Amino acid sequence: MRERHNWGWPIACYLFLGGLGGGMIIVSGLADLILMKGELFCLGGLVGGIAIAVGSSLLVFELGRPLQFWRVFSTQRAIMTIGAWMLSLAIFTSFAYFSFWPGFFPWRDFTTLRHLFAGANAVLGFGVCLYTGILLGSLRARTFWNTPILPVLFLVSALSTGIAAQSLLSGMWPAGLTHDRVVGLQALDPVLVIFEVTILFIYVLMMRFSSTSLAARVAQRWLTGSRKWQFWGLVTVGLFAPVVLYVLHSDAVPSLAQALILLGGLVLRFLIVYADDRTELPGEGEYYARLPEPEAPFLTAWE
Amino acid sequence: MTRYAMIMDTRRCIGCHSCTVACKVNNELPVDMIYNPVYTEGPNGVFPNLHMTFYPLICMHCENPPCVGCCPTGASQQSDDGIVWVDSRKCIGCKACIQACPYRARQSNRKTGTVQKCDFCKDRVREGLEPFCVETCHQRARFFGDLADPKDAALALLNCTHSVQLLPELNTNPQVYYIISAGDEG
Amino acid sequence: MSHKEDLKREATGVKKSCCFFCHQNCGVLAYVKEGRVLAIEGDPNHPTSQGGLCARGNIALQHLNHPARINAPLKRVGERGAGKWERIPWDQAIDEIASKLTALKEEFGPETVATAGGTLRTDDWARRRFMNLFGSPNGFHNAHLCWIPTFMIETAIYGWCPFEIDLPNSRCLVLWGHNPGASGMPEMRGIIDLKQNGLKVIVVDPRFTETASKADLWLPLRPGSDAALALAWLNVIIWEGLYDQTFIENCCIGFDGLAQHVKQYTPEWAVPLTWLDPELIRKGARMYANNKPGNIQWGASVDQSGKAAGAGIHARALLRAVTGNLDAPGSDLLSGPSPDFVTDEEMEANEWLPEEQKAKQIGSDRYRLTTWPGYGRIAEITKEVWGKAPTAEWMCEAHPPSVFRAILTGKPYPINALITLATNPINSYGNSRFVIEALRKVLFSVTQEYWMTPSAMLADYVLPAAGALERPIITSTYGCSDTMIASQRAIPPMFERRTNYEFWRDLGCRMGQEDMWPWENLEEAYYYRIYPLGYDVSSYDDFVERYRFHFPEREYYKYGRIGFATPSRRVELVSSVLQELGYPGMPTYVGPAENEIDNPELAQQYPLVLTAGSGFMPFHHSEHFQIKELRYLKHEPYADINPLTAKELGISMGDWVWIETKRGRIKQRANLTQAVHPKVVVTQRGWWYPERTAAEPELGGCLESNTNVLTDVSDEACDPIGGSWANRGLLCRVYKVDGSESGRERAV
Repeated sequence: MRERHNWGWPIACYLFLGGLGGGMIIVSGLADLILMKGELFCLGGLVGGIAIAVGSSLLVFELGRPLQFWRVFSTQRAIMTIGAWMLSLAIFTSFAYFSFWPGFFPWRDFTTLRHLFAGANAVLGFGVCLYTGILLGSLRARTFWNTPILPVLFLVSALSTGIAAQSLLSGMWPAGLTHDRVVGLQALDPVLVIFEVTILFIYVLMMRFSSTSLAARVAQRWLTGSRKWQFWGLVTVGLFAPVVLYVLHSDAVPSLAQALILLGGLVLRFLIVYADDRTELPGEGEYYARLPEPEAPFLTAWE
Repeated sequence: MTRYAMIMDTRRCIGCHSCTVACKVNNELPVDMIYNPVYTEGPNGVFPNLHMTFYPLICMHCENPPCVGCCPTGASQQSDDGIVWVDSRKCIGCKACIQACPYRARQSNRKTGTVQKCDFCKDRVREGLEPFCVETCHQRARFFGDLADPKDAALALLNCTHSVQLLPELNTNPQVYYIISAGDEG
Repeated sequence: MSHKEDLKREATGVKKSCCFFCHQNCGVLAYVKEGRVLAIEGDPNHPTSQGGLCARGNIALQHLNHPARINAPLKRVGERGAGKWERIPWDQAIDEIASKLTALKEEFGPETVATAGGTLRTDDWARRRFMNLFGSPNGFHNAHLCWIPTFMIETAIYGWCPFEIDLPNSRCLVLWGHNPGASGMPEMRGIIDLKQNGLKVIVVDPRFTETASKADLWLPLRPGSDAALALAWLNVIIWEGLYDQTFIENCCIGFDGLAQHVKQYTPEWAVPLTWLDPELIRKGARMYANNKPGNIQWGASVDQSGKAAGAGIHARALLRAVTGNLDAPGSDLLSGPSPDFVTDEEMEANEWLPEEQKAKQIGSDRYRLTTWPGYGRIAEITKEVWGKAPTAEWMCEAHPPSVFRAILTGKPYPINALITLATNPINSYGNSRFVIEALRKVLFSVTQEYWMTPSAMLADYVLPAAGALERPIITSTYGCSDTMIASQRAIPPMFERRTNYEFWRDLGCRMGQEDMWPWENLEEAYYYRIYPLGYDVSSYDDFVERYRFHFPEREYYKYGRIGFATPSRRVELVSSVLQELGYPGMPTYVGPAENEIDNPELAQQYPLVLTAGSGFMPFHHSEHFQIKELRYLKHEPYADINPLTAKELGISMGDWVWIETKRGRIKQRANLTQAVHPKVVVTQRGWWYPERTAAEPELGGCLESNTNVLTDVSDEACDPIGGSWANRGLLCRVYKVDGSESGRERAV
């Protein structure tokens, strides 16, 4: 048996939701602080917080001992510990920030306090977007992850999905805000996507031509091998198509483009999580290939 | 200061898997958990010009262990004598350490949800006994010792033979050494 | 502290036991309390194992306590093989077996009762004692596949088998058809230690084994062609003048005859037979002859070559003689039987078997060396020179395939009862389908076993067997060495298990033999055996605890004092004993039972060469497939096949393939490896599937991957001298298992 994937779909979904949520609260935070358009993006800020919360609960679900998850809030200097603190704080600040917008909380007019939370959202959002890429990038054993490009790719992808989601949600609540106000933001999205495609190709091609044969093999798997449909699907449908749609400028189009960007973000995370190959030691592959599956009858015949 | 290490003499190892079974049986591991597989490299070459080497693997108890720094709860830790071990009470099963290990030394126990691995039989060696895998080896292909002790036999063996570490380019500085030839053969 | 150390501290006693899962009998310390073994570990003070324990030794407690162990006597209810048993008391079982055997003896004569054993696993002198007193000459083991023909041919030539290798003083070791790297752990350690000090190691083996990977020279000969190689070596050593002139002049006869005889067997002559380069053949011969003293370690392979076995053994044996590597320091030593302690043969009561019964031994008309004709002659000579004879239970046995044939055909006379101990004949004897037929047909069948093996399933009575931790053991190379290592039992047998000794004794006492079984248990019998050594011990256990072994002072060149135990008292390079028995006095080339030169039409149909029967860790013959800690490591059978051949046949790594000979076919997974010649296929032995239904027709899948489905026991395939049947160098073909094939090979 090839080494089984230690991190599976819950982690892939978390990476997507965490990045998405982080991107969304960055937008809501910066919009409030710099663009003075906080109201437009405050719903996105809430949804971002929910995305982070759902993603985090997937993380807990994925643990070997989920009820012990609280132990992660330690004083260890592990990236995962820092990440756990940041996620928890981000959930708190994103909900807290949103609470300023509906009419019924007494602190709705405390703008300075609201700006504080907006700022916190922006900072924590960046942290959430970045740390997962840094975490994966630090694992020297996983050749395809062990590159500084990975955190950059994650950040750009998180921002582009965050902006796409915010664009989709803006104007839904409170109702009545016009479409024009988000145009500036929408212009940013295709730019980010072009960045993302570039970085993705730099990443994959550097791996493909790496002197490490394992890295080259995994890149091949994406480019022409068993994952080519997912990879090229991501590139065309999740990255190029949205840019084209934006360029074409039609009114109905932006929502479709944004949805495709979100889909692409999810596929990218899945591709990466399942590219956890490790250099095999001499004779390792054959040794494990010959071990029995857990259902082998002799394992339970004499229980 | 003690620094425990193990030396595998590949000139002597014949791939009999006795160490794998001794560890599993004496440590009462689940049947599907293997701390110390023995890999067979080869036969390489073309019949009849062949060579074959056996590599007994265990946790490398690296000097620079990537699996310790990544643990969010502090369950994965390294003692002063170099032994890397897991306090299963603190382990939440996040598997970051499994992802971090280049040597496939760690495994997740499906029943308990925690991560386990070879710990150099730390309870035994601290009482002056040998690890089970070393004690059982008929070929005397495994040596356990304290590299910080100038009089240690394992250190002497290391000094007079040509040995390698696995995956040295990853800078883990593993403390399991593989003798591949006598010192004078090069 | 680890749990194991806690268990050791809880124990109230430590016993010096041993592991009995192979012949090395490594020492085991057993920590016991109130009749239970709490923990085991290797005994660091044991002279051979020095504290090591292999994978099998480590699972001793899993074996002892396994839920599938047979723990009470069982009597068949309903159809044979249906798996329905009635649990009965031991005494009742013995009573019923005794009366049945008595009835059969009265009707058919005692020779109608045969017993089957495997490799050395128990006190077979007790088995022989019972059979001699009962009057039957038809006891047998897998002896013909394992050392016995070698012992007898070598004893015929130079008066005892020189199996004691004086390795520490040696300069060259030839491992001929032997892979200690997979079968003899302490032995392998010794070899590696000495190799690091300059010992040259030559491995003769078709496969690049663990041992071959450590060797200085590897000769990958065609399976079954050992006779050709050994004759070519004789040719080189004699005709290049590398022989030991002094030894030959002073100690041998027949040199001139031998020299002329082997002149034809040049390395060039050997090329098409062995597939070896002639220079490689010369290199090996010169390395052995020039690096003296040297040893030729026996390996099972040559004994398993069938028709060619005798010639191969004989030629190989002469290599020691012409190089003078006999009983000299660093060479192969003629230890002789022990003069000091009571040997196995002295416990066998051979003098009680009447001559007319000896004459009825099945197979003794055709295979005369390893039966009463040959054994009787050789025992006569060794008694004159050494004072004692080799063990009869091993060296003097009925021919197993001929006994199975007698069960099936009634010729030369019917065999109506079979008692099987310490063997699983379906997996371990040649031509499994043939064996199954015989086991199904035999009128009365009794077995004493650890497990409900496929063979046990076909018995009428299955009695529970005690294992190594539950019995004392004396280790002394089939009763033929002058050394002895003693181990005590750790605990009394659990449940209703009993030792084989108790089975034979209880049966014997019930059948009028009480006077001849004065020792109530094995400790008493063993004390009787070691008593003449003169140690100041009050019991056998006392001896084990205080002394543990007896290694007499080594005496080299004993022949200077007593001569060689042959008629001429010299090494007979032309053997008069073999000639007396009607065999060639010198080894004459014989091809393997099936080969492409002598059987070209067969080779058209079966173009590849099969060798089977080699051991591999962590199993031992057909044992341990139910120990999950071991089975986990190798849970399916793999056959070795060269990648070039696999490619031609469209086979990829891990594919299930059929391996077929004229006898039948089996399924194993393909292991593509450069370790074998492109025309050679090596199957793993022993495979059955204990997790499957044990009863008919499944019989634990014993025909699905069992290499003995492929082997040949016909008289034409057997060695005329020793009777070995053919495991090695058969012709076969290999093809992928088609997806549409039904999953299981039924025992039809």
